[in-house]
Amino acid sequence: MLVTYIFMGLFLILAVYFFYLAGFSSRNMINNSYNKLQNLLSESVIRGNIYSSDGELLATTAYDENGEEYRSYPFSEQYCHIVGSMGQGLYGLEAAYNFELLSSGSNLFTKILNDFKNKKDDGDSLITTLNHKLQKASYQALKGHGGKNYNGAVVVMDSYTGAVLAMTSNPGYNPNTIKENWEKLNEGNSSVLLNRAAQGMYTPGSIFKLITLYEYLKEGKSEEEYSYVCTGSISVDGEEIHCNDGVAHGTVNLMDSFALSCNCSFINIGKQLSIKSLQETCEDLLFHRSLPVKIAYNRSSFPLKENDSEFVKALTFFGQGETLISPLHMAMLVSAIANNGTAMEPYFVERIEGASGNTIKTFSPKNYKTLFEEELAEKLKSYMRSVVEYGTAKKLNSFEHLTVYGKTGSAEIDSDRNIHSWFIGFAEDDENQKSYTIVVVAENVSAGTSPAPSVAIANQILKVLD
Amino acid sequence: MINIFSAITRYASILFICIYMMLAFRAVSNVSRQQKRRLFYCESAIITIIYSMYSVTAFLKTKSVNGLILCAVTYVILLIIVFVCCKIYPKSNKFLLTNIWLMMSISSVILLRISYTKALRQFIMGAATLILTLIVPYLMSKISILRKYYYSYAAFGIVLLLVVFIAGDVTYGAKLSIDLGIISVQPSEFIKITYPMFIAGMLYQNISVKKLLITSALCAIHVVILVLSKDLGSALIFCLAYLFMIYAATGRKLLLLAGLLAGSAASAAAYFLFSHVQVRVAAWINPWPIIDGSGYQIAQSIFAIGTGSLFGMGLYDGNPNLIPVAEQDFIFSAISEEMGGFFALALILLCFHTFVIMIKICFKCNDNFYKLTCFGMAVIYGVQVFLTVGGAVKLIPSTGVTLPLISYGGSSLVSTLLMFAIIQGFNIYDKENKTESGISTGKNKFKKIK
Repeated sequence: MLVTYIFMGLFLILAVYFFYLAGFSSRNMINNSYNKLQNLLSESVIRGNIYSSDGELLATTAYDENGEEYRSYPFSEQYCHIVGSMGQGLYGLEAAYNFELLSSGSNLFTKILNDFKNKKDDGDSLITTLNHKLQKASYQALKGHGGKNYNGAVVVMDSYTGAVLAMTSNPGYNPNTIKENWEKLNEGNSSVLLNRAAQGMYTPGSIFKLITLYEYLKEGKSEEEYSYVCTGSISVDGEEIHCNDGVAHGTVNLMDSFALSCNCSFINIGKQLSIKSLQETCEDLLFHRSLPVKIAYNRSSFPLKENDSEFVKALTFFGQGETLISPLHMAMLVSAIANNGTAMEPYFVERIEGASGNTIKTFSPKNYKTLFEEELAEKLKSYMRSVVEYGTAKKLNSFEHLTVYGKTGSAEIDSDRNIHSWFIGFAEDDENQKSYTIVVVAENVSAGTSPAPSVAIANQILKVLD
Repeated sequence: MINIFSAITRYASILFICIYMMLAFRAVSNVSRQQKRRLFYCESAIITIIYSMYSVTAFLKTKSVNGLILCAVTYVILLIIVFVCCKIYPKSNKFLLTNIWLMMSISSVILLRISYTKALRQFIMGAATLILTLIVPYLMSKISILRKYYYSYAAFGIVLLLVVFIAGDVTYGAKLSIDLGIISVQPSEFIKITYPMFIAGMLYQNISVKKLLITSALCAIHVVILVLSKDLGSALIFCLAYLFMIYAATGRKLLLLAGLLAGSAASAAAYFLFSHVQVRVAAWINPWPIIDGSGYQIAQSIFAIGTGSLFGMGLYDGNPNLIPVAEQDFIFSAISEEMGGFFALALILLCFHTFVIMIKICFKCNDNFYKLTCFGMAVIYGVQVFLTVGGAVKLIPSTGVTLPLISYGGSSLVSTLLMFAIIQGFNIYDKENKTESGISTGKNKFKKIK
């Protein structure tokens, strides 16, 4: 009899486990690009819609004159990377939430009825965290209000929650005609399909000074006693390294070095650091690591080694050298500083709704990791504030409601004085207790453009929030 | 129109198989002869409905006349065999018969879905064996000295396993079968019959320490050869069958507990010794990062089960062929994907019910040899179902064991049908002839397992 009970127990566990798997727990597992069965679901479900958080329709299933389904994107290029597209494979949120869009949260009775009527079920809709005004502003800012068209990317994120409010990458494409234009889109090397905001790998330039500074503070080196006399250039291993435009900053303290972005001073700072510890710090700050996001991205890399030449080390301290980062990664770091050192998981979808407006699932903000000690995050904040108060991003100090913190960067990419222009930072709106992280990169602009294109773009976007 | 019929089939078959299971478990409790008769007819009707609906769905979806003919012939043959069996062996267990019938019907539908040739081959094997098995209970009543040859059963098992170990074909890393030209035979399936008979033969009369040791040693040889052939699923089944049978014969719980602990230790040792065990365990713990390699199969199985969800995608509306060797180790996932999670859940119950019937027959037997053999076969069957289904749903690491009567595979089908025929034989023969002269039945030494 004991044996019967043993087997009864085993089969009971098996049955309960299987029931739970088939009905519930497999939901997350089957949403996987390896699951080719997903596409069979489109035979029985009408792919759901995608909305912005303020109710704009971003993607929907429409019908042509023959009654055939096709995917329509009302805002065309504006959302092409983040909402993505389908037709030639899946991109963006269309890929990340493919399964949810092809699942139907209609009630069981409706589904059974539809089965018997040979009618497709209505798929669930995504309510994204994207804010249409911000997305539009960032798209227009990159696309060149005033005749300039910058290749590059913008990420705007709620620093306290990780909700991504806008994500733009330029150049883009028209997702409505991706199938027709597929060959053209793949011509040349403009890589329009690449979502530069998450997949772009850029030399950081001076924004890396934030990390050098953090390492300096973390190693417990003195802030007050630091002083350096900048003559506009410094010699390392017999090579001359200049400050931007050869400006001599004179005697600078730590805050001045950061606010004015003095390369020479940062080489001096870097010399005092332990390379091993800097490597560890970078690992802790998610270089070479996976990011907790559902869309496609590339990992940032920090390949500096202890036995690299002094010259390479010097370059690395102020953001040149071999280091490569993605804008999304930067957005996570900056929002962590704005959020007392704790990074939030960036998320793009706040809610999944059934066809009748019933909520299927809500996504709430999730703490990812404490990246910076709270005290140091506070300090970094004050340094970032100085950049806007009297440093390289003064232009951003005249908002009515927003207090901006940031760091600019101009990463040299060739010997013709072409640079990637960076701005990373966040804007606090004390009245509404909000903080917005903003990361801008504008590719391939000529050095010395004033104001820096990235700052101008950030300014244009932040105006929407002011 | 076709889709509507397919949808009706899907929902109706889930409803009917649930009713079937209710009736089946009702029949386990004591019911009158007349009620039993009614239940039997109801169950037969349900099988007929489910099978014919799915046959028509398959025809509508594929327009394959061959498929439809195969279904019709399968149905007629199974029907005839079931009723012939009832006629010539009025004392056979009818509910075991209907369970076999239903399982073979489900198998026929899903194999036809996966591949017509495989369904056809399976049908030919099944029909031939079923006809053969009709005489098994009769033979058993004539040859009553079955129990005398227990050493030859052990020899049969060990020699065959050695042959496989030396000359076997390697499939998916394990040596399982011998190629005999036209067909390839998997001997471990047939040893699943002789092995419990050997242990029962050794232990049914009296249990001395010497006999226990000999039994243990010979069983250990079986298991070791299987482990060396990397057929770990079978090794596990044989191990557990040995442990439970020793427990049944001696009634010592401590022995069972110690055996299970030793088995766990041996499994842990196997994990560290064999890389293929590590691969399987890694694929079980987290298949997602290794989805391109060893995690692929289990991931596809989960995709199939999850995407099919509780009501299934409908026959021919999923794609079970995406799961590697779906027709064998992962047939359960294929059924769940297209016929629905509820249907698959009922299938788990059906297997459990079959196990319960076997245990019930074991309890009813007066003859100790029958009792012990029947018990061993039930354990082997139960463990095998648990390993297959548990592996397919990622409850345990996949062991490469097939689902009896449902999975594709001639050896497994033939041996399982033979086993059920033998159990029917025990049921009939024990009832017919409780006091056969000249044979010690070892009465009353075997009460403790009740």
